[in-house]
This record gives sequence, C-alpha cells and structure tokens, in this order.
Amino acid sequence: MQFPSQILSRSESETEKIAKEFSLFVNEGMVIVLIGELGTGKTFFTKKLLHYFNINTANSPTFAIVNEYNGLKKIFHFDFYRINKPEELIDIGIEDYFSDSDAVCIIEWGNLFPELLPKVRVEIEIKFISENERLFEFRKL
Amino acid sequence: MSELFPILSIETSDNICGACLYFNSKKFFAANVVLKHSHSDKLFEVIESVLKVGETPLSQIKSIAVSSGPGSFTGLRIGMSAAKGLAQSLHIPIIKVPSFEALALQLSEVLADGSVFTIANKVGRDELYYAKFQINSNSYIFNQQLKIVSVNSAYLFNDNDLVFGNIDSDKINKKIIYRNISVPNAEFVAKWAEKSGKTLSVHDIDFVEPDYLKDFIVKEKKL
Repeated sequence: MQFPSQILSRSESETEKIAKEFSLFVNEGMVIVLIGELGTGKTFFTKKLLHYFNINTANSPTFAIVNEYNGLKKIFHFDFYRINKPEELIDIGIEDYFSDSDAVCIIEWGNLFPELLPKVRVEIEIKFISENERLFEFRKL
Repeated sequence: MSELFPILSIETSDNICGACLYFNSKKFFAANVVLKHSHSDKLFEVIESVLKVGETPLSQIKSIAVSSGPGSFTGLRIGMSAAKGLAQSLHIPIIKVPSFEALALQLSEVLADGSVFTIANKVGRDELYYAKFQINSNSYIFNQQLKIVSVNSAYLFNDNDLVFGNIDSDKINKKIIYRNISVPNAEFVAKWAEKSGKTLSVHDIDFVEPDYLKDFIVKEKKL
C-alpha cells in the first residue's frame, strides 16, 4: 500500500481485503483518522481492521465516545460524531490517550475537530460511489 | 510546621499511583504502584495500605500533599479529587506540590552536585512539558523554567544532559533517556511539602485545582 493512494471497493469482501492490506502498516503509536459520511462504512472498516489484531468484539463507539481493546495491539477506538465542542474531548483526557505511544488510536469523524488531532497521522477518507461501491483514499500527514 | 504532620501525600501525575504517610525523613510509610490507568481503581487501596502499615487512622492526618502537575490530565484530576475529598471531610489543608520539582528533589538525593538534567514528559503527541535543573548542595535549581515545547525541539537537549521522562526516544536525538523515571515517588511529594509546605498549605480548598500548565483552550471550529 502506498500513501497517498486510492482504492475502489466494490463489495464488503473487497473492503475486508483493503483492511487486511492496511493492517500491515499499522504500528503502535499510530493515529488513524476515518473520514466519511454516515453509512459509508467507517465502523465496518474498523471492525475488519481490528479483526486482524485478534479483536472480534469491536462496536461503534458513537455513544461511548471511546472503546478500548486489547488484542495483538492495544487500540483506542474513538468516535467524535456526538461531540459538540472540543472541551468535551479535553474533559475525557484525549491528550492522555494520544500520549500513549504503546497504543493505536482510531478516530471516526476525527475531521470534526482537526485542531485536537496530532500533526502526524494517517487519514482514510471513504467516499460513497454507489450502494455497493466505496472509494478509499489513504494519506499520511 | 508540626501542625501539618503527619502528611498524607498522593502521586498520580503519570504512571505511578502512590501514597505516603509521612512523619519525617526517618519515619514514613510509602507505597507506589506502577501501573498505567490504574489510579481510579487503586488509589484508595494504596492510601489504606500505608495507613494500615503505619498504624495511623485517617483521622490523625494533618495535611494532604498532592502532586499537582503538570502531567496526565486524568491522573491529576483523580489525585486532586481524592485529595480534596479527604481534606474536606477531615478539615485539613492541602499542599499543592509541583510534580517536576518533587522529582528534581528526588534526583538530588542520587545525582552528584553540579549535575544538569532535564525532565521531559509528553503532552499528547506533539508537545512536551520541559524543564532543566541543576543539582546544587543536595537540592536543585532551575536552569530553564518549566514550559511547554514542541516535541521536535531537539536543540533543547545537550549531549551531556541527563534526560528523565516519558518522552519517546525516537523523537529526539538523544540515546539515553531514563524513561521509567518521569514522576516522583509519593514520599518525595511529601518531602517537597515538608520543605515548602508551610507557606503553601491551603485551607480554603474550593478553588484548588491541578496545574495543567497547558491552557486547554482550543480554537473554534470553522463552519
């Protein structure tokens, strides 16, 4: 996989293959931001990605804001969708999560609060093409 | 000063969850649990254990010394909440102890006179809490005051400096970093309070809060 790159997925199984390919590049300390409208499959992609780290219990963190998983890697899985203002993220200790360089942070809707994100990060933008097709854009910042 | 002893000190500003029942430098009971993300779970157990071993009921504590930062946002809030709850119920003062200075005091007991050292702890991914000290007659002086710097400020570390803190070694051009020494043990929070607590003890604790150092102010989102 190269950065930046675009990959078209025509089905869920193709998305799973993309997640597998991407999983090879995931290291401790990495911050991954998922960008995409509702229903584009951010959580689906994350679930498939975490599957490759022996985590099969991943769920949407929309209501919990952050879920923590310990598999082959330690994962903090965030969702900023329900966050109204950045102070809410500061109140849950977002800086402490980002300070943990032993963990991987995956942030859905991270683009809502870019001022809080670490400068070095990977962004994955998922674009809706058709009912079954999604365009994945990978880039490193 | 004696009205402040015994001190119960609390350290939660990073990976140490510690408490110390401190009478004087020759009699104290300390427990330091090194376990990330354990503070809310373990702090009161640790406090109970030092009180039990020290055979001192909570009601005999005369002051609370709490490591006040800078450090982990959540860790500091846990420690400060516990300190304020205890101080409120026991009607005793709180002594805010600057975490970096308590660590500098701790290091002054082992480093040679004149040694220069830096403490650098992470603030998120992109910044560091940073201060430089020099050992001076079993105590310390600031060479550079505590501040927040960019994590890429490699020029802040001279070749001969000792570096302590939880900073990632790949972020700076410095081979030897004492990463497992980033915050003081609880007994040195108490010892710092012993040195400077008389003037810093606070009875009116309503507005006592951690010294985050960083202003957690963020820009408005662009619409």
